[in-house]
Amino acid sequence: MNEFIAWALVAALGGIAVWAAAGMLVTMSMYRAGLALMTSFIALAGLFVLLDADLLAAIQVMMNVGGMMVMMLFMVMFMLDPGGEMMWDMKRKMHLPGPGAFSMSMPPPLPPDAQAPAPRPAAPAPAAHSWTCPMHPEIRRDGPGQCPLCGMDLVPAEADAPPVTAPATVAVYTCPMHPEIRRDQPGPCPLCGMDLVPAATDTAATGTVYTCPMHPEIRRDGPGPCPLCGMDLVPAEAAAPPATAPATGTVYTCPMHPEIRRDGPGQCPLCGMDLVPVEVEAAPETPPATGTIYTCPMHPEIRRDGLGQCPLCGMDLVPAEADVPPASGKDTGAHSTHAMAKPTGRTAVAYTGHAAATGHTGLTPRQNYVMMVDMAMSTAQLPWALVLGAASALALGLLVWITPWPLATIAPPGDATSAVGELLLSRYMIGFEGAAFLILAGIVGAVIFGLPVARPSAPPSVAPPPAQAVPIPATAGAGAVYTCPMHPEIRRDGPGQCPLCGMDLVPAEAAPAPATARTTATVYTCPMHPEIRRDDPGQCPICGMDLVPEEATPPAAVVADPPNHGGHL
Amino acid sequence: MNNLLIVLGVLGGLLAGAYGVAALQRLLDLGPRRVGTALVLPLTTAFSLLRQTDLTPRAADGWLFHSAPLVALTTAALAALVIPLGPDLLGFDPAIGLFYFVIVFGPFIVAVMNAGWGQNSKAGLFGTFRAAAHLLAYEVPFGFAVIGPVMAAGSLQVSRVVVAQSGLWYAVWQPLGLALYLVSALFLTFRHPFDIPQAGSELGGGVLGEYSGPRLLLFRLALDGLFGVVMAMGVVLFFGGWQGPWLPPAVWMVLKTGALAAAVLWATRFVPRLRQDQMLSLAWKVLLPAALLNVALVGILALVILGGTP
Amino acid sequence: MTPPGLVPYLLIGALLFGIGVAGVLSQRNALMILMSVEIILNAALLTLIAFWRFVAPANYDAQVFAIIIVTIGAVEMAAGLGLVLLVFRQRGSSNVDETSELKD
Repeated sequence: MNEFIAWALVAALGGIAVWAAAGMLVTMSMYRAGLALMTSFIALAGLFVLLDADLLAAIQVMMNVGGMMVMMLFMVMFMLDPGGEMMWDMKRKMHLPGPGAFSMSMPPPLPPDAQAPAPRPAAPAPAAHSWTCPMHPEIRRDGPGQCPLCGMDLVPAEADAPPVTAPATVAVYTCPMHPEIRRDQPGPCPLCGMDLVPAATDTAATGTVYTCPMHPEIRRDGPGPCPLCGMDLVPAEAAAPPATAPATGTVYTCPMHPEIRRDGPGQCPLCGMDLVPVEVEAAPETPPATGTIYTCPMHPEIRRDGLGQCPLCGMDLVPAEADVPPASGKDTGAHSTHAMAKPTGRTAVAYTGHAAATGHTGLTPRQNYVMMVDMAMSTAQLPWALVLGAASALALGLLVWITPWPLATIAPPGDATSAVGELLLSRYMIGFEGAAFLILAGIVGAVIFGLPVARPSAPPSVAPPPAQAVPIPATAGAGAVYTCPMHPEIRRDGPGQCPLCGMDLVPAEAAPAPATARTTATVYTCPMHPEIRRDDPGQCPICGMDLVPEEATPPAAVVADPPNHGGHL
Repeated sequence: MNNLLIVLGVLGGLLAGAYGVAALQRLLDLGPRRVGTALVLPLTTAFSLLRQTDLTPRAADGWLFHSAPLVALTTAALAALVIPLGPDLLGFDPAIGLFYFVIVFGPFIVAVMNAGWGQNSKAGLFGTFRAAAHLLAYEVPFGFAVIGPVMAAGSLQVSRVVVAQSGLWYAVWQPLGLALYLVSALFLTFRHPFDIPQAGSELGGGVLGEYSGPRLLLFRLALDGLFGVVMAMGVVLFFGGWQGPWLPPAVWMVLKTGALAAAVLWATRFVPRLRQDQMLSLAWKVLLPAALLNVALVGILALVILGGTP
Repeated sequence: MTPPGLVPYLLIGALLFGIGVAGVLSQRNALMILMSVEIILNAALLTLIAFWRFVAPANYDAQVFAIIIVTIGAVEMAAGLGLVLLVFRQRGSSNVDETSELKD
C-alpha cells in the first residue's frame, strides 16, 4: 500500500481512537460515553487490520460492541439521567448556543453583555413592533417566538392593545409557576425554565379579577381556564396581590421546601404538599449563622445544612460561597464579584446584575466549574487525574521513543488468520476444553439450583423457619398450589401459565388463600429488615433479599427490634 | 474501478433483495392473494415514502437520529459483501468471511438502538433496550448455528463452504442448525413474530416511531435487505450456494434465496407476535441449549460423514 | 517516506493509556471507571500487537495471547458489572464516593 496512505490511515484511525476515548470522559451522557468507547474500539480494530491481525480485529469488534451493549443496558439502571437529557433540556430552555443535543461540555460563563441569543427587550414598553400572543396579551417580546404559556407563535401586537398588566409601571418579572422568583429582567425561571413574565402588581381597577385557586398569580378580567393547569378561574377576593412582598398577612410555606412562600394556602409546586402558615418573622431563606450552607449549583435558592440532593434537579449540593444571595431573588447586588481566577483559562467574571437574565445562572466561575465537572460525571479531582494521565502518557511515550527496539523487517509469514486458527486448535486446545468444562459446570449448577423451588435463604441466626418452608412441592399438603409471581390471586392446582400475564406459575409457599386473616398465615420478612412483612414470598423492597418465613411472633417482638438490628450492623 | 463496481453491485443487490422480500411478504400475507398488488406495492410504498415530509422531532438527538438509518444501511451492505453470487462473483472473500458476517450484525443493532435513543421518546427508549436485549440473546445461537457448516467445511471462508457442499447439502444432516439459523435470522432482522422493538401496534413504532419520509425508507430498506442477505447466507451455508445443474449460478442463487425466504415468511404466519419475555426465554432457555447440542451433534456427525478431522 | 513503523502505534497506545488512567482516577460513576479500565486494556492490546508485528512476526502465539486478553477483559467486565449492580441495590447509587464506609 502506498506509504502516504498508510500514514494517513494510521493518523486518522489513531486520532479517532484517542479523540473518542477523551470524549468519553467529558461527555455528560452515559449513552454517548458508551458510543464513544465503541467508536474508539472500532478505530482500534482498524489499526489491528493495518497491523495484519485481521482475526483479532474481528474479535475486538465483536466483543466490544457486545460489551458496550451490556454496559448500556446496565447504565440505564443506575443513572438519574443516562442520556444527558437534563443537561440538554436546560441548554434548550436557557437558549444557550451550541448543539444542545450533542452536548459534550457546558459553555463557560459569559458576562451579561456577551450573551447574544438571550431575549432581552431593552424597554418593556409596548412598542408598535412588539410581539404578543393571541391568547395571552400580557406576553410581550421584541421579536417573534413562542408564547411561554401556550406555545403559540407570537404575532405582532397593535400599539393600541394594552396588556393586562402595564409592564412600563413594573420592572419585576416573575415566573407564572413560581411567584417567589423575582428578577428585574426577563429570562428563564431558574426553577422550571419557563420564561418570566411581568408580574401583576395591581388588580384591574374595575371589574372582578378572576384568579386560579391553584395559581393565584394568574389574574384575568373574565372567567376562563387557567393557562397553567386548566382549572376554571374564580373571582378573586380582594386579597393582597401575590407578587408583592408578603409584608403583612400570613405567609404559607411548604414543610419540605421552606423557600416556597405563598400568600395563600395551596400546594407546593415542588412536591405537592399542602402549604402551612409560617410566622412572618422567621425568614427561612436566611442561612443559619453556623455551619456550612450547601446549595445547588443550578438553583441557588436551595439552601440546606448538609449534603444531599437538590430537590429540583437532583444534583449533589455543593458548599455555597459566602456571598451567594439568599433565595428571595431580590437584586441585592451581592452577586459574586469573585476575582478568584480559576486556572482553567477562563477569565474571572464579575456579575453585577442578575445573571439569570443572561441565560446563565448566577454562578461564580468556581461554581460553574464544579457544576460542569458534576455534569460530566467526574469528581472535582479531574485536573489532578488529567495531570497524572498526561504524565503517564508522556513517560510512556518517551520510553517508547528512545528505546532502540530490535525491529524485524520481515512480514508475517503465511496467512495470519489460518496460522492463529491452527495454533488455537493444536497447542491451545486445552484452553477451550477448560472453558467448555467451566461452562458445562455452570449450566449444570444453574439447572440444579434453579429448579422451580423456593429457596429458604434464612441464615440460622434469624428465627428458624417453620416446617412448611421446606421447599418440596410434593409435601405441601393436599397438593401444591401454583400461583403467579405477578398476580398472587391466581391459584391453580398444577403448573401452567397465568391467565393474566402468561408467566409460568410457581409453587406458592403459603397454603392458605390470601384472603384469610394475616394472623393465621405465614408472614414473610426480610432477614435484614424485619419491619418488612408480606403475605407471600418475594424480594425485600429495601435490599432485594428473598423474604423468609418467620414464626407468627407477636408484632411487638418485631417492633422491639430497633432498625439497626440491635446495635450490630 | 473494480471496487466501484463491487460497491454498486452490492447496493443494487441489497435493493433488489429488499424489494423481493417485501413483495414476498405481501404475497404470503393473510387474505386473498393478489399477485399484481404484491409486486407493485413495495415500489409504490418506496415512492410515497420518498415524497413524504421528513420530520425531525424537536427534541431529537440530531446526531444519532440522522445517522442511524445510514449506519444501518451501511452495515447491511457490508454484510452483503460476503454473499457469493457465483464462483467468481464475490465482493469480499477474507479467510474469516463467516466470522465477519456474524460480527457485522453488532453495529447494525447499534444503529437500531441509536434510532430508538435519538428519538428522545418513551416508545423509542423501550425499543432501544429491547433491541439490545435481542442482539445479546440471539448472537450466540446465531454464531453456533453458523459454526456447524464451518466445522463441516473446515474453513471460515465463504467460497470454501460452498464448494464443500458439492457432495451433500448441509441442510440434510444439520436440520437443527438450519432451524436455529432461521429463527435467529428472524430475530436479528426484527421480523414478525419477533418484531417487538419496532412493532407498530405494540410500541407506537418503537425504534422507528418518529421516522418518516426518506429516512424511514432507508431504514426499511436496511431491514428488509438485511433479511434477504441473511436468507442468502442461509442458502450458502445449508443449501449449497450457487451450485446447480443447468442454470447459471447467479440464477440458482436468486431462486434458492427466494424459495428459502418464501418458506420462512410463510411459516411465520402461523405464530403470533411474541412478547419480550417470551422471546428472551426462548433464546436463553431453548435456543442456547439447542445450539450447544447442535455443536456437539455436528462435531460427531462431521467425523462420521466426512471421516477424519476436517 | 517509509511506512509507519512501530513507534506511531506505541505512541497511540501510550496516549490511550494516559486517557484511561485519567478516567479511572477522576470518574465518579462505577460504570465509567469500568469503561476506563477497558481503554487501558485496549491500549495494552494495541501495544502487544504492534510489538508482534514489528519485532517477532513469525511467532503467532502473540495473537493467541491477545485473544486471551480480550476474553479476560470481557469476563472482568461481567464480574465488575455484577459487583456494581449489588452495590447499587444496597445503596441506590452508583457513586463510588459513597462507598467509603471503611474510611474514618
